[in-house]
Amino acid sequence: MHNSKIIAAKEFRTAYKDKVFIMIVLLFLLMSIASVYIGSTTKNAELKAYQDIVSVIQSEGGALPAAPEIFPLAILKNIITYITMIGAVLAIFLGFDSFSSERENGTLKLLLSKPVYRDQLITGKLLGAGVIIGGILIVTLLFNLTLFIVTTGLLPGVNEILRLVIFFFLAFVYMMSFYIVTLYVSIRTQDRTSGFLIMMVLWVFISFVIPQLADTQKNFAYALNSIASTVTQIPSDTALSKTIEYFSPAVQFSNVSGDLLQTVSATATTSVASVLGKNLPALLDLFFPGILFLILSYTRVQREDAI
Amino acid sequence: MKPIRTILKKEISDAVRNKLFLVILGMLLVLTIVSVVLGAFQVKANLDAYNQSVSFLKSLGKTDFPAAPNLNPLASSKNFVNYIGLLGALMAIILGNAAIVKEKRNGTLKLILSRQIFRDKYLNGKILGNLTLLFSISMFTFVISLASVAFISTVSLTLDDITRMLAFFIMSFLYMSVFLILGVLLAVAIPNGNKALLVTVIIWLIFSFILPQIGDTMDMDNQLPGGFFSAMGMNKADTQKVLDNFKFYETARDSIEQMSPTKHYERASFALLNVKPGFETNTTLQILSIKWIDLLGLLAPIIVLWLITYVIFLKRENIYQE
Amino acid sequence: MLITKDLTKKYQDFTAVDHLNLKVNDGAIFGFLGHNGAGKTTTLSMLTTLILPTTGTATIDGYDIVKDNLQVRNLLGYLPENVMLYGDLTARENLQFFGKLANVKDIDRNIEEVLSLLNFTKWTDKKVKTFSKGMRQRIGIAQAILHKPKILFLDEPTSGLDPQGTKEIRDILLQINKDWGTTIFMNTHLLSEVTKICTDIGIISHGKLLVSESIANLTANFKEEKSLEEIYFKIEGGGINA
Repeated sequence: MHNSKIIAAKEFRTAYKDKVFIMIVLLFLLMSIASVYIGSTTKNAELKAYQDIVSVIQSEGGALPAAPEIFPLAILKNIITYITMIGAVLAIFLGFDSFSSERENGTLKLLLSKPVYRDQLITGKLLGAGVIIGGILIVTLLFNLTLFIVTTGLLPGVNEILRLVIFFFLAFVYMMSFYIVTLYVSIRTQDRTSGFLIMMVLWVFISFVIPQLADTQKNFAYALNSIASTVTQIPSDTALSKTIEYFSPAVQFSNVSGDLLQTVSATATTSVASVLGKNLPALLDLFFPGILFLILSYTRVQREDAI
Repeated sequence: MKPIRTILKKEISDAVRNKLFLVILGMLLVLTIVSVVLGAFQVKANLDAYNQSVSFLKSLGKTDFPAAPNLNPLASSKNFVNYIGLLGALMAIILGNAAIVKEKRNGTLKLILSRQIFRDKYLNGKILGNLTLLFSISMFTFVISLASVAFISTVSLTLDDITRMLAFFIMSFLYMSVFLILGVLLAVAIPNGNKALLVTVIIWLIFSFILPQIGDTMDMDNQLPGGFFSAMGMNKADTQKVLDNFKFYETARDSIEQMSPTKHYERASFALLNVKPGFETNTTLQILSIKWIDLLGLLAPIIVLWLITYVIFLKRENIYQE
Repeated sequence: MLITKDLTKKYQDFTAVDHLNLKVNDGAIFGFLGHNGAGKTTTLSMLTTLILPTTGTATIDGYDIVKDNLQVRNLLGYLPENVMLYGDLTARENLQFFGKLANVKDIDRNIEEVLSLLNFTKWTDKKVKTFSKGMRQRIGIAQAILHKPKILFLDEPTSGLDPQGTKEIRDILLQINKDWGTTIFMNTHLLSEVTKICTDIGIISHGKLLVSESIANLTANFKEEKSLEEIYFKIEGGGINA
């Protein structure tokens, strides 16, 4: 553990000296802050629009539409998108050369000729990344909590704080999964550029292409249904699109997080345990890739040609 | 002209040997074909379903048939917009970055520049070679899409449908070109090729994801599932009335979106492909003249970036250093 | 200090190192000579426990390189070829990192000591990526000797250095050999290096050891050849033919 901590400390130190990495961290923080701000002003605009509508309708003497339901945590909902997008890229930037650059710089040979076990090297890198990613998320959480209190004027209750903390924990798992897969790719690839690009392609697939394929499939089933009343909706088609979605942890993360952050009124007021229970398969899907690639990384690094 | 052609040819043969480029191209093509074919089948299914219900009604002796659905065969290519926005842009970035970085790494940039060739011809050859490649890819997907829509959906296409589709694929080409040249520019401007690639990707993220995302967030209608205004039971005129009260807000949103080439590409494409309603009766040229600002939004960055690349490439003395 | 017995490394049907039998005495400076691809680096990788031998054994100070690899790593210092180190970290940060991993006690005092030995104190807090190749190589040696190893392995320590840099490295090696009694095992393809500092020499070709002698014995055995260079080519040429 001692060696792993030394390596973790080094990872941390090199990361914050890397200008490109700092750039993307700042981008992430800025975006999440801006998103809360924009989210709350949009909500305010909506409320104002509602009041305008009410006054128009009142003057005409019509029936009033129901007020839009606004749950406080939903203000933070854009963070979900930023974590699935920029959060994942941030993890990729952190991990893509974590192993291959040690190899290219010759430091891998130096490390392994010291009394250090190879698994300690991986553990050290994971610890370092965990501290960095965790740190960024905690800063985001605190900042957003403050902004939330300031813009809504509400003090979040226990239930809300619990939802928020679990959401950030899942965000941590999601980003670490990306880091772990990237680390594995970095062990496997000879040069860092191709490792990075492989991960970017994977990222595009997980975050965009697979969700889109699932969507297309859903629409396909729906279109058959809507045009001709003689054709009924085929349940296997939505089942298929659900299956496609299981290939994307990003979709699962968004679904669980959407429930946690009260964007869906059905789950907005239920207990946290029931939200998690409902999303159990999604949670498993979220944890699975990280664990799988963690094991793969630990085994792969033992091989001689890993050097 | 001859040296340009030599370099142009070499660029293409280099790209064809670049594994990662081939992988992305392969995925792009597979996705395109899958989505176009699925889309074409959907159009066909809709057509069949309509015909079926018509004959069903006929057998019941009815004479008033429901109106024929708007089949819109062009929209089969709709998903391609997103694939190009993502994979196409990434592919172009890789091509642009590799075009310069590979020569620096192998030390061949020094060799070539010591030959009797002007730097501008060299740069033009490189950019043109890669543009040719992107153009061929766009035209190839155009032909595939056209063929699958025509043969699978069995809907007859008008000449205007075809030119719209062609215009859309040219827009796709322009969109990829923006990122190709951005890739070249940064590889020329930043000595470390790796860093250049990372920075290009970050810029791509900002323009393709973050700016449109901010725009989306600011879209009031987007905040409730199914749309805020329809939830309020409002029609288009009323919506407009409410929106007029938020002019400033809407302008801010619009100008953020204007900064993103991805948004321009999307807007023009959705108009051309009839995904966005309101352009069904326009000809291709009319749409392009309505959407000129989007065309400009793609052409202007190409020209500006190309010029900047030019200036840096001609001026920097240590250009060949990694 | 170092004894290898039939040390062999095979990659599928290619034998990189073939039944190597070597003995390096305490306090020797051993030059391991051979052309590119002869098996020098593979040998070094086995001795520094980076890769496992296919067959055969080796011991360093009585410890087996496979069974007691952790003890072996405590004994040795190693500088691979072309080490870039961590460019974004300063010389001191690099040394602190590698020193901690090598369990160096009183690390900051040791760093000062080694850096003043290497005449490097001026640049201690500069980032390594700003260093010239010769400077980087000196930091590389510094990390290898920080824990005062009994044996120091070097892979082509002077390749790519200018004459001044080469001389500096040579002087450092001679000094730690003299002051600390460190045994030095260096791979090289530069004959001139060997003649200037080595006490013993081994020549390897196509994975096989052709000769392993002290320089004094070698020159005594080849009386007609005027220089070590001629001896080398004679042995090398014979080795290829054999």
